[in-house]
Amino acid sequence: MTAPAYLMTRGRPRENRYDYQFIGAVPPARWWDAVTKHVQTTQREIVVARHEGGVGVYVTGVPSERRDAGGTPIRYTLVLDDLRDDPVLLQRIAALAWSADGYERLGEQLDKEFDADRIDAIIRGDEPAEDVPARTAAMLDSALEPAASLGDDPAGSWVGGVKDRDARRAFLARVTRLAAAEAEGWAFTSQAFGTLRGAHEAAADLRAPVAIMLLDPDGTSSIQEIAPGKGPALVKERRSRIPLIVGLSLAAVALILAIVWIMRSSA
Amino acid sequence: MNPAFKAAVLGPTRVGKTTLLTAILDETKQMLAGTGVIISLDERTQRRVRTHRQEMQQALLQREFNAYALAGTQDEAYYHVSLQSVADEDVRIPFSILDYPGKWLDPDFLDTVADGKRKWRECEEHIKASVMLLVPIDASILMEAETPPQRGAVPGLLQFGDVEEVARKWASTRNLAEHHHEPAVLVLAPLKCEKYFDDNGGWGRDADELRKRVAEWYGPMLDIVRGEATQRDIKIIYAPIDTYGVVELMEADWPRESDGRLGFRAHYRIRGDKTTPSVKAAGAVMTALCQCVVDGWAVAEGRVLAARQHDYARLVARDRERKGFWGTIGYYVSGESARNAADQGKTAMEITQIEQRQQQVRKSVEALAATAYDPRVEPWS
Ligand SMILES: Nc1nc2c(ncn2[C@@H]2O[C@H](COP(=O)(O)OP(=O)(O)OP(=O)(O)O)[C@@H](O)[C@H]2O)c(=O)[nH]1
Ligand SMILES: [Mg+2]
Repeated sequence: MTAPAYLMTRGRPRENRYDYQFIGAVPPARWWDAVTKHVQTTQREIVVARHEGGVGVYVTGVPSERRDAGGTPIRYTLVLDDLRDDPVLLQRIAALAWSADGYERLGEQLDKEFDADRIDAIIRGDEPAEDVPARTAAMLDSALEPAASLGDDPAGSWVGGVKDRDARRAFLARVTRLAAAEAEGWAFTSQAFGTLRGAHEAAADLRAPVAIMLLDPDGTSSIQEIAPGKGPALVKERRSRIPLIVGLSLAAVALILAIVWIMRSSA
Repeated sequence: MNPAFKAAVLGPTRVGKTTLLTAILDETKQMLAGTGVIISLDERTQRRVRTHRQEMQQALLQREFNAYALAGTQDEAYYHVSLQSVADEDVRIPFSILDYPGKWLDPDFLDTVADGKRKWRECEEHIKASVMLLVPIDASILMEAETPPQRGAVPGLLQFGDVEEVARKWASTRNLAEHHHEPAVLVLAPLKCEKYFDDNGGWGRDADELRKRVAEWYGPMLDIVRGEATQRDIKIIYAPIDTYGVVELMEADWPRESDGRLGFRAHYRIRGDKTTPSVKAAGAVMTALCQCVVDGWAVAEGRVLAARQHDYARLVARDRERKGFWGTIGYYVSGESARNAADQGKTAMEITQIEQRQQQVRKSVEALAATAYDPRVEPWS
């Protein structure tokens, strides 16, 4: 018996009540919220995290064949709250990160399992839906590729590109270690940024170890360590203001005078 | 963080907010070519814009143009954008422009979004602090509505009630004593209007009719805004914009939706075999935004000069503490931004250089502000 897989999608009618929502059951905690500003939630992204309720995975940007009434393509988002007991399933889900085909297949299977009329009826309240998370979990096995092999997962925070084989294997190893409580924090893909600097910003914001898989890296794909507290993002960090304010006060006043003078003569 | 000048979009879902922002940034880039100043986007903003641009491109590569192909916005997004010296990334004027899912305008819908109320409150704070409110309008809905039931559907489709409420809050905040002397601009930006113009690859002759309909339908909102702004003027700019430009509405349907109301579907064709957008008139928005900065500058400079005989240090300290528009202007006018750039043990020569670049950015902002509007664009007050 696998953990329930919460399913978020929308119905076809235009009205707001058919908008994106969890179908049948809602995850008790939105443990993935802190990371959403570091990913593009409308694109293909995967987030794995240790949280109070276990080790969860969040998969977004899964394409459906359905279109809403206006013609906008519909997507699915999947949330499994706790996969500590099933690290292999977690690995198989995480491996979607580098498989556009895998995403397509998952979307097709979901479309088959829940046809368009049924989703609309569920949202309207005309059909029962309690079984949606269980049915979603049950179909995952047939929708996913077999598990791939793991690699070396460097300790601490790192970032790598999806094209790099070592990075991919390390990513799988990291999610496995998260599930086994051997690692803390987050492992996630991102299309929201593509540089080491962007990864530093995310790590600093999340205040926890991170393993980041860049889906569209600017530059090298090989694994790079994200040293806590310092990095290329911070080379411009200003020094403390206090000695400066004292030391520069005279110079500053002179500078203001100069600038005001320049501005006045140019006005 | 350097303080930034704020702006925000206001419109229902699918109206074209995100597409409009992309078009504005693209056109600003072209307007700045060769000036020594560039428009620079922070990494996440750049990615967001790139994804959106790719989606637009894909929509044009489909054989049949899907008018609503683009994924809607799912979370609030701040576009961090600066006009920046090519030579020195510390010398810049930053803007922060808010985009969000249009459906958040609907209070009932907000109830269903986790944390929705809090997120929307944050958005509202940004909107109220914005010197510019950018209101995209679905021109095709206004123009294709012919029969009484179709016209009856317009207010619902464009969510006039919700849009007016936010515009009211914006205007009443602009009217507060502490914001009186700040600039305030409302831009009415009809989108999806390729069919009605003949100046961007089309043969439409309906520019006058579009202006008339926008004035009619948005008259009540403008009245609300003017009614709130009892102590000040609010500048209103009418700017019909092409974000795609190379598509054209062929047919509009008004099907009955499942809730009994009329919906709207537009069918487009792509002109010729165009695969890249031909943006029109979007640059006017950046021009208007730069005018806000330049106007503010003039006022702030007056204050700095007036205070010259008095006490500089006190004035500067106060500016630094001030929040909002004057704090931001003060930061750039008082020279604090230059000092910050210079405060790392730079030599006198380097400091002079920084000052020169600052002048250059300032000149560019002034030049952008002085750029003539596209002939489509009109100041309405
Ligand atoms: N023909 C045409 N289509 C446009 C124009 N501007 C936007 N669109 C289309 O309108 C649809 C909605 O645009 P978005 O920019 O995503 O709308 P939005 O207001 O950000 O929507 P939400 O994010 O849901 O609030 C997209 O499929 C665009 O391609 C335009 O000027 N002309
Ligand atoms: Mg949007």
